[in-house]
Amino acid sequence: MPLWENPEFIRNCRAQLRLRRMLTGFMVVGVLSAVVAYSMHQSYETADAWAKPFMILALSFQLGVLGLAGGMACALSIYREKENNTFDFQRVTRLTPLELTVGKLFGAPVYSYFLAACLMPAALAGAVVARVGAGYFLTGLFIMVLGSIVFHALALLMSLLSPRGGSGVPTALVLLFLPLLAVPAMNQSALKTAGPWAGVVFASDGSWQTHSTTDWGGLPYAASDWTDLVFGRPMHHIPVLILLYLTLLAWLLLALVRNIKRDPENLDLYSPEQSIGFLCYLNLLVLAFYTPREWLAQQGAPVAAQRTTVFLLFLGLNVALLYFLGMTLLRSREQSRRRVYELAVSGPGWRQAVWPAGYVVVAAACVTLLICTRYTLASPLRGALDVGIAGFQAAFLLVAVLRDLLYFQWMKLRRSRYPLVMAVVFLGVFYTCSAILLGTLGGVGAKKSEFLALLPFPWAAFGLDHSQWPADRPVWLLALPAQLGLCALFAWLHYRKLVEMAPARSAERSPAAAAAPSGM
Amino acid sequence: MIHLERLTKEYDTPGGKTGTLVAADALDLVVPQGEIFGLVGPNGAGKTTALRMMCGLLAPTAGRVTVHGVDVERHPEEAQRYLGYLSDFFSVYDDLKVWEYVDYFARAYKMPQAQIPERVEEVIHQVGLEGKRDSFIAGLSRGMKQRLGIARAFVHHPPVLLLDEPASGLDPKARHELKQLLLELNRAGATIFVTTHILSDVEEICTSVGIMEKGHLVRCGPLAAVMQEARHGGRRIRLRLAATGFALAEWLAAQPGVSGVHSANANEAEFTLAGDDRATAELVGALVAAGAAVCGVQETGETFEQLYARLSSGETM
Repeated sequence: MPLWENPEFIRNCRAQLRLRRMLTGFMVVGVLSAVVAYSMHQSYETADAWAKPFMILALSFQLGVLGLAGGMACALSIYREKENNTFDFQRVTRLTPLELTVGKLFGAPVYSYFLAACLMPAALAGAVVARVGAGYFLTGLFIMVLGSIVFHALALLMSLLSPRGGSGVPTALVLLFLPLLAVPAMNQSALKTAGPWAGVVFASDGSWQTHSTTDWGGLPYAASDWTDLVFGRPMHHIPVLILLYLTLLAWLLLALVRNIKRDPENLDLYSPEQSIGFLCYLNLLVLAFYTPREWLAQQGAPVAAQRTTVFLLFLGLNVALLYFLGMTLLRSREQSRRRVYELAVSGPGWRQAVWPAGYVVVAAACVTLLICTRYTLASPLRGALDVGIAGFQAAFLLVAVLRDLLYFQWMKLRRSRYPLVMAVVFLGVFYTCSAILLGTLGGVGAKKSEFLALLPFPWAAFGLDHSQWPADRPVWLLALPAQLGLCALFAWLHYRKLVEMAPARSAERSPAAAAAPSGM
Repeated sequence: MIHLERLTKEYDTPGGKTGTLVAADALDLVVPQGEIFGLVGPNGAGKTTALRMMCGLLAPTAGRVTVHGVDVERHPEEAQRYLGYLSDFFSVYDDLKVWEYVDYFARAYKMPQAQIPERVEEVIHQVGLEGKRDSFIAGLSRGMKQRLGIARAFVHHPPVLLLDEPASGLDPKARHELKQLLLELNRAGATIFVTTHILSDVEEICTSVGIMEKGHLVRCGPLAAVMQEARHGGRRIRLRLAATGFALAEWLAAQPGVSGVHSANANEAEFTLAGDDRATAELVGALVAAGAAVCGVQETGETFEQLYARLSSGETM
């Protein structure tokens, strides 16, 4: 269905683009543009020196209108419809989830697009007077619009996930993520400015040249502002940015399309398989743009990073990502109840009890494979890494993640208004109390309490000293089964909750079910 | 047409207390084409939950709903082709005009583009809003908005209409017009599934009825059959004698098949008789043979409202 025939887009256009409202917007923007242009023209000495700053200002306003106002409109669109009880009627139309999503994505911020269009004469005038190349101007504009669309999709997803009655939640989230519009380059990253602000910069000072060199300490190095290093190879920033935006947009659209017409009690950001894919995608991004190098005090040029440093970086990153992945896969009471009813005959088994451990393990295996492949094929690293100990370290942390996830899954099935919040609070209290007790007993790092410390604080595995492994091995080898035991305990508690939900109990509770007369 | 198979919805009891609320408990129901099915029951019986599962808004805990053979949960877009839905508490887009609102849903239900303008005018006329065609919805009264909601529900010619309390908020005239509209749609072939608290409406327009109580369908079937069943298979008969002096109530109480004898005065009694017309004739014959001067025999009808009140006032449903 073309966008101009999309009913949701048409509805938004009709509601927002009334003639009077458009005229008001056009006049306000027109007057402001004229006043600012005149003012800047007067404040610069040469005749056309004002033009480029004026174009930058106009483009910045366009980005602001698209990003802030458009993002806010998207963040409020679904949320407001849920509050007004109009969203249900969209869910029961024949619009496919994709059509409804696209209609909202371009329809909700349609007035922002109109205002951005009203600013276009000002931006164009500045560009023409400043003799900015059409290619640079249009490319910059394209980056701004595409980046804004990605931001709108993020805002729309927040709107969809915002619970009813939590007024201000979507707005707050949009404001929180607003700095994404101008994400600067990271220190160690080979990717330049990732936010759509790059479009404004490209329109004013862009270049199509790519420069890279391997001269600097023998490592690949991007010597131009518009050159990115993708897996160590130089590429122009604009196509990289476009690819990045398109892939991010695809992931956001996937989450929206999966959920926009679903029962709000059964929302799933992604399926387990898609979540693993998303995790691999995030890892690929880091692998593509991260240049492992470090500066030594005695050298002016960087050197290749240590293998252990890179290992710990990816270990930390993926422990956090796996934690996040696992949290998104946790089942609510409603979802668990449905699953238990589906298994009515056989009843819940160990596979249900250990949910979502299986997918987290598969995800860990996938990212390990990715990282190993990347650093086996290319990218020079310094020093040695004991693969056996590193593997144990990773496995230990994986079990720690699983332990917490199984605890959260059990807690999420408890009867409470906010079960997960309570679970986090309890875990926080547990960690705090353990820290105080261990501190009293002689310190977390002390040898005598090392095993005791590893039970509540498996994250100490990040600091595992490879050189001390022979001496520490017994403690670690004892701590691993202890962590697995905790996993088994939480899985068993989870299993008990599932058994409580089994339909047999429901039938006992309401014997009239069997006696209900059948229909006509 | 509409097929509910073991449709179940369980909720946790609110407030984190123990126990489960079974809003729909393994409902089995078939509503054939062309019926006007009325679902009645007290507040909290599970009517709205059942309706929301039927139109795909709510995922059932177990069981499934098919409309025209299409599974509502598995193929929602295909199922919506056959469904029109109106909820009991709803809003409309205040920033649209009346015709724009109807047009939006005609498009959203993917009607052929060429038919939309004509259909929009037709539907606006059917719900009596032609005078407000170009008005903003924000300016409409509650009743007018309700009529607009109904227009939205059937704009795409759905063969099945699911209406949750459609008459709530309507004035008597609008309610009458709504009933006429539903009958008209039914005559045109639509199957209508309606929940309501207005029991006289059920009796007036419904061909079948279901009574829901705590998630169960406790009575279900053609209206006449449900009423017959609720009378425990008997018919209510009033007898009048020409003169006093015959112990009518005592005589009736001694007859087989007679129950619930109630005597308003000495020469009149009302009772329930199990059996058909022949049984009535035999009873009257026996009464005449016993020496009573029978001057009137009348089968008294019980309204659905009376029946529902009787059932819900303590009699097991």
